[in-house]
Amino acid sequence: MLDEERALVAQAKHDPEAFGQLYRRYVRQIYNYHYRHTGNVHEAEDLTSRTFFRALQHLPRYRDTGHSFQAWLFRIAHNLVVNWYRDHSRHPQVEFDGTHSDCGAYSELLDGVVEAEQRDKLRRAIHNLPEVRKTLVILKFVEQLSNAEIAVVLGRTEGAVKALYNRTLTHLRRVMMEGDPR
Amino acid sequence: MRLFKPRYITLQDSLSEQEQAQLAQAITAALPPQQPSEAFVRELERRLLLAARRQAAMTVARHEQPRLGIIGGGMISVVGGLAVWLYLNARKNVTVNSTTA
Repeated sequence: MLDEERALVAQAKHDPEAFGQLYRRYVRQIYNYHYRHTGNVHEAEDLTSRTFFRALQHLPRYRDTGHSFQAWLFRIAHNLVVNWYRDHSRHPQVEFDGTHSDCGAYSELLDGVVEAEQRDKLRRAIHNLPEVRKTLVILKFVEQLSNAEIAVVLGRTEGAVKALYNRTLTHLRRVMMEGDPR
Repeated sequence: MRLFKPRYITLQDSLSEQEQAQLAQAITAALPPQQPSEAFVRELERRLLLAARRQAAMTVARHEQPRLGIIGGGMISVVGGLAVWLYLNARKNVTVNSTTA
């Protein structure tokens, strides 16, 4: 963890304004994570709120173990997502419409890299992944977390994360080559 | 001490580095970032700051409680001791007066 962030986290334990800074730093990433799992703006907002309120509640007991604060925050988010899947016993039924935010412009930019049809197919394949694998994909490719940080979030060893990563990529490649997922 | 190194058998075909990079690029493209609305971000920040201030105030109060207890207890002890001393002193004076009389 960076010294600046370490100091900010220590300060946030008793200073609300410092906690506000941490919130502003990570709120978009946490929201994005929840949205990628739920596929629903309202659910994503609700889970984002709960993530930060839980973080605030547990912050006084937070101990710096050498991992990033971001990983700690994502671990809280991940636990909430696991509960969400359990409570709802479902995968998101809502298709990502991309009407929220500047997704359209971003997609257009990437059209040259990946064909739209292939991209939709891959997106569906990712949506149909089991929760842990989907978390891995989101944290790795969207949030750009390291394997060590993902291991903290998932509560696994780094080796297990690497193995899961390879299995997930192999599965996605197979789906892309074969046809519709599942 | 371990005599043999553990051996693992790869059950699935692995991806080459180039394939991994291509797939990673495709995944990144398939999952563009989704931004929350600014209204939501602002409102949640307001609620969080409120809760954080309340929590900070409660923490201060919790830390102050033992100190106030010690000070209060000390004062009660001093006042109580003084009262007992005055009472005993008064009784002693009464006894002395009655014996001299």
